[in-house]
Amino acid sequence: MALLTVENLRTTFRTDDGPVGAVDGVSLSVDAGQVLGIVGESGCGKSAMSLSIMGLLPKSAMVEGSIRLGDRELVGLPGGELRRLRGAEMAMIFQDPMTSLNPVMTIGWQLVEAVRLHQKVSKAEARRLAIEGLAAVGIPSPEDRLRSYPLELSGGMRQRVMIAMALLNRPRLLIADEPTTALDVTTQAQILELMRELRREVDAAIVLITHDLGVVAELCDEVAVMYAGRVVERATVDELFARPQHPYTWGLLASLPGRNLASERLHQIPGSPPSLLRPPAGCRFAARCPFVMDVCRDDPPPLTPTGRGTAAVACHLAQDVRDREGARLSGEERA
Amino acid sequence: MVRFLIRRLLGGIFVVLVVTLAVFVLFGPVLRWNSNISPARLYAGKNPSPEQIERVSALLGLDKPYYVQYGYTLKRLVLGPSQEERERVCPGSTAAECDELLGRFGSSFAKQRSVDSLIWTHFPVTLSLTFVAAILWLLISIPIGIISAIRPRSIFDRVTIVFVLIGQSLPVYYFGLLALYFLAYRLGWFPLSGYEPLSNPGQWLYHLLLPGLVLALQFAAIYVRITRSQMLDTLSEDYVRTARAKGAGETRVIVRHAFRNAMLPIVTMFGLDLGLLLGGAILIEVTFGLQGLGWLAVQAAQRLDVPTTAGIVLFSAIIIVAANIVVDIVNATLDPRIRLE
Ligand SMILES: Nc1ncnc2c1ncn2[C@@H]1O[C@H](COP(=O)(O)OP(=O)(O)O)[C@@H](O)[C@H]1O
Ligand SMILES: [Mg+2]
Repeated sequence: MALLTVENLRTTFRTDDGPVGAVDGVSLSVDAGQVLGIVGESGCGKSAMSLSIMGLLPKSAMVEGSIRLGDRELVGLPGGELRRLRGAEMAMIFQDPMTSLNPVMTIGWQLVEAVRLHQKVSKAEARRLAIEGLAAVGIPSPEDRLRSYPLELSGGMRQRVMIAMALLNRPRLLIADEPTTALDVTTQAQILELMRELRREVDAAIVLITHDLGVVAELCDEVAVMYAGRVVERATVDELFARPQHPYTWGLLASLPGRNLASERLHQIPGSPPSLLRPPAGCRFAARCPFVMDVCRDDPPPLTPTGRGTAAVACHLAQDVRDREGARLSGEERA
Repeated sequence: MVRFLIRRLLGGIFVVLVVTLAVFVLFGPVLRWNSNISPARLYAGKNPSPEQIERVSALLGLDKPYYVQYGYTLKRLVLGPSQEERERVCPGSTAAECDELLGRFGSSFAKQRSVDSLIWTHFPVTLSLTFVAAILWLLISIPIGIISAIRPRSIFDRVTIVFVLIGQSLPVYYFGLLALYFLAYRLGWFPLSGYEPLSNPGQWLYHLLLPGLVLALQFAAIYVRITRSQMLDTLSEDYVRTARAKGAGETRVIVRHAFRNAMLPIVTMFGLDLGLLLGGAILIEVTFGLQGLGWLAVQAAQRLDVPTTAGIVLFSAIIIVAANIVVDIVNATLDPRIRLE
């Protein structure tokens, strides 16, 4: 059974200009020990979705649908019960390690706090667990680091601390929201390497959010591609790279750095995602899609299985057109 | 940290030096040129003869060149009155009698006392008033500011904002008189004026409560506003979200994470305000008949008691400089970003 099951999730922010449907009917699931990648440009609702799962959204947000962790329904769960799950059963790593740690508290204080919020252990025992946790994420002389303040550590080290903190209580679900986006390239590689190691060691289900398909290729088992609050394509990583089905996915693939240009027109997807305040009626990608047809502007395509494993796509293009274009693209890439 | 402290201390000493020079020039030469007030004339009593003035000038050391006078003023401020001055001004007195008359800040024209002893007589009143007011305004403003920030745009928040505006725009003397008239005179809940020493704590507090409250409400308005805005800022910080993601409860998130960071600028402001108030809250002291430093300053100015006025100005300046240094030290202990810089 899947550890995390999200069904028809709708997250709406009430704003002065009207409701913003940041997540609009997303369904997905992850098994224990699996890594699900969520890709999409900035503003597609990836963070809104992960914060919905964690129950960390501001009061101005409304969450509908179903989020199940194991067999427990999280939507509508009282605040106190959700709080007991946060940091214990499910944990989250954020994008910017420079601002995610409390600047006036020591690393040790913050780690010990994380332990003692959920485990009835002595301070000394919590400290020991904290040191262990820091060592596990490759922080040198972890005992000394307990006395450090966040500003004494580099971005990469801080992100390691955040990862250690998230794993302290052995959560069953770990959500990493663009954990490397704010880091420089070398550090990105190191953190990804760390995530790869941890993936083998911890038995948690991992949701890895990124806007970089390269990261997905390296770390994930399955992928969901999000566009403007919706999942437009879902597949295993191998399937996605072998037979990408959605024109948006093609665009993402083509804009991967270091890969040779696929079809010219897709090299960079022109334009930007539509406003979620008043989203277009049909397919939300229609305005930017090089293959757009009349039907795309009127009817939103449902997420439909392609028939190959768990893969599904939301696109009006005929299956053979998608197969042909997708195969051409991944063929060019391999060449 | 030690280097930081030494640097701050040296900076403070420099500022005090500049202030002493300014006070010396303003209350010495400038005052004399400007209004033709000769200290010796004031000191020597009504209609003194020229010989009397000359004698007093010599007695006060005013016949010396300015730089010698300034040098001695500085030396006296640091080391206390010299043996030579003691013998010149109070020959034949005991040391204790002479201490009454001479001090680091000089001697009053109006009373046969040193400025030091005047200051130390009146300062406890100001200190007590400031203490009571400060406790009251923190107790009032911090919780209100925090609650407003947690529930922005709520009815509580809106009512608070209205009171903040009123509190900030009501002149303290007017507000003080209103309070005095209704609460003390009409209702008789509070004494009309005066101060009781701390040796009788109940009476002490009873006499300070109303002036303290009036003073506190004015500051509370400002502190509610800054607490609210600081809390709104920190509550939207990433590390507050991290604290929630760890499973911390709301109270813990607000107090240990958000407020712990939001309080840093509040602490700074508080320290500086204390420094200012300890120099004398003139309007409140006069309105409520509290004979503190502010009250003393008004008295001294009215009587053209130049040394006392100058002494109070210098004393207040030293307190403000000291408050600044204390604020820096407290900030450095509270905020590693300052300490480790
Ligand atoms: N607190 C909020 N209030 C109003 N709108 C929000 C809020 N947070 C996010 N949004 C909107 O929701 C949409 C999705 O944002 P987000 O989930 O942050 O995207 P992503 O993480 O994919 O970059 C965006 O249009 C954004 O403007
Ligand atoms: Mg995001």
